[in-house]
Amino acid sequence: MRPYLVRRLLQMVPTFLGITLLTFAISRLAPGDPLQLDTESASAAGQAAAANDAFRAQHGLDLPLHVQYLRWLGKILTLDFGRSLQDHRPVVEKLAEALPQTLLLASVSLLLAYLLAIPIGVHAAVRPKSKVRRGVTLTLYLLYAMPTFWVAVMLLLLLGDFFPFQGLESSGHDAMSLPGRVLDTAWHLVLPVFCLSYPTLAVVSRQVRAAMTDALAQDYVRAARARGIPERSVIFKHALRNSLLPVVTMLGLSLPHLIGGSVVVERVFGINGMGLLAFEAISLRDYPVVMAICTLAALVTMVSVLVADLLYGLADPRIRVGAGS
Amino acid sequence: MRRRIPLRGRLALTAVILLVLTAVGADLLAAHLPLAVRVDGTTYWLPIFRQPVALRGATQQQLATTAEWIWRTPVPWGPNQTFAANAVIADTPPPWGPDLQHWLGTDELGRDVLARLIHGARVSLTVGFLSVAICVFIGLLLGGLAGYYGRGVDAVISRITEIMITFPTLFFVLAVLGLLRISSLTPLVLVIGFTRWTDIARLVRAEVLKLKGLDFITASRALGLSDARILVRHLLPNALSPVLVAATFAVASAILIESALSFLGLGAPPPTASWGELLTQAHRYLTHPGAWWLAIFPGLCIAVTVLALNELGEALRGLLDPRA
Repeated sequence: MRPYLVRRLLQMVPTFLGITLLTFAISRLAPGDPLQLDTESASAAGQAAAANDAFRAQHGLDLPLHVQYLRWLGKILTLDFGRSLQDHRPVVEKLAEALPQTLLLASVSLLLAYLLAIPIGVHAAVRPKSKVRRGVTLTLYLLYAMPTFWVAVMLLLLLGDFFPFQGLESSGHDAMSLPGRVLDTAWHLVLPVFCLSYPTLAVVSRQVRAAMTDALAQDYVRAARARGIPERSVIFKHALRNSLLPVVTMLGLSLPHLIGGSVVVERVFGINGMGLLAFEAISLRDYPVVMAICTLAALVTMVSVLVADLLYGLADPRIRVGAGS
Repeated sequence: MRRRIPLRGRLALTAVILLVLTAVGADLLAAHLPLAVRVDGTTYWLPIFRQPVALRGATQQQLATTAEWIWRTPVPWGPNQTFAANAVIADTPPPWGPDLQHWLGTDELGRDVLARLIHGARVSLTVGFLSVAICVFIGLLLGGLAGYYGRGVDAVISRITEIMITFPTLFFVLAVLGLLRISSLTPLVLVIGFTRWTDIARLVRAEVLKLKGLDFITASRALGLSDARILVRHLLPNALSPVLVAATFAVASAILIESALSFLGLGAPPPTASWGELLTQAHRYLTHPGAWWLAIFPGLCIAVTVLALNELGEALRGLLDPRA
């Protein structure tokens, strides 16, 4: 276990470096720079040029590219992502404000998607002819084919009277009691969480169904039934445990989709999370923020893929990780 | 034994073929000029392609009153033909709801929604198919190399694949398009193509790994064939069927990505009608005058297309995968 972990962690180093290099390259290859918007509005061109030079020197934009990259890399190792070019606040501060909203949204969506996907998938595999399961599968399949932002807009249109339009908190949120605040946030979460979780739900429930159908056709299931073990425990103890493995790996890989999807969902529902922050930073060419978010998103995904792989080993004794190699 | 394609698969295939035909023949289905027209003793065939001087600035609606005879397109409106050119007198400003003139209504400039949808099919399908063509090419190349040579090559390619997987796709595409400040179809296709190849590369790698130990490859090697020839002529063709299935699903997801990018303001440039762009415009008009037709129809087009492609992928999987 330990040598495997060390090897995996070492493998993450080149991947991480590659990601930072790619992020850096994209943001610097982009034509134009964050000062252009300012310069156009400035009255005295000479004055603006001097100010721009000072701005560039202050943010290190006048140094050669490789020096800029190495300096940036050295700093992020100490979690210093620099200051935003827009409002000069530290990037870490902006991230710290946005991250909880996205984490809340993503974790609730992920949890909900998996909690629902497993029973739906199992039911679909056990009773393939049931009308309920056909209805559910069809609905998910149809939803999966629709653009998320369209579903979000339609939901707002149809249910906008019952559910709040914007953000995660009502205006009087701070004055509420603790249970009131929790309820308020939950109420605001309903529509965004639905939009963010249904694609994952559709994919994972199909996966569970396929794995369960495979498992139920295996000899050990027939043997268990022959021994007179109750059907309920054949399904949940014998078949389900074995079919959950591929689903566990999916957990790590569904995170990038959630982070990507949050850009659209946060924009429709006006939630000030990482997605919206990234979108705004990209529109305003706020390089330090864009680079920090890309790096962070990639890092979170890398770690979650690793955790999923480790869980895989824990769940299945046959694949004791690192045993073979 | 030949397997039968299930009815759903055949329906999906029909739908996809119809969509491709619509995209290819968009100018024959909906245009501001007719299929054929006779004006002042001269007959013009398919004037939309030749743009004859005599018909410059004319519309089917004007020609219908002046021409000796006219063969109209099924939808007699061009995708960018605005109400000013329509010669339709209405009491209220557009958007107009569906009626006999405009079957699916018009947008806020009086442009016919059906005509824009027909031309939008071209944009959406082009983005979908071209970007996936790039994905398949990169996937075959990198997956093939990684699987065939193994060791160092495999390690490097696996790291590159991992980097691309770790980046949330929409994020990455958004960053590239947004920071490069380009809104045109070519970079859109390129960026989607260069980010979505990872699934295909992994499939090809696994397939090549499985195949390269088989006797026919040993035989090819014994015959003295070069590595390139073995890879291109013998290994990759045998690895194609799972790629075909994955590519079908990839087209569907590329169309969805295009619509999301349009919504974020990075899709096809304004006058172009793409489904995502139509939906985005509709978003602004939804709550105010309640122009439901602007949002429902493009959304349905995307949903039906994605559904048909997913269904086709399922059918192909059933047909090509011996385990299914």
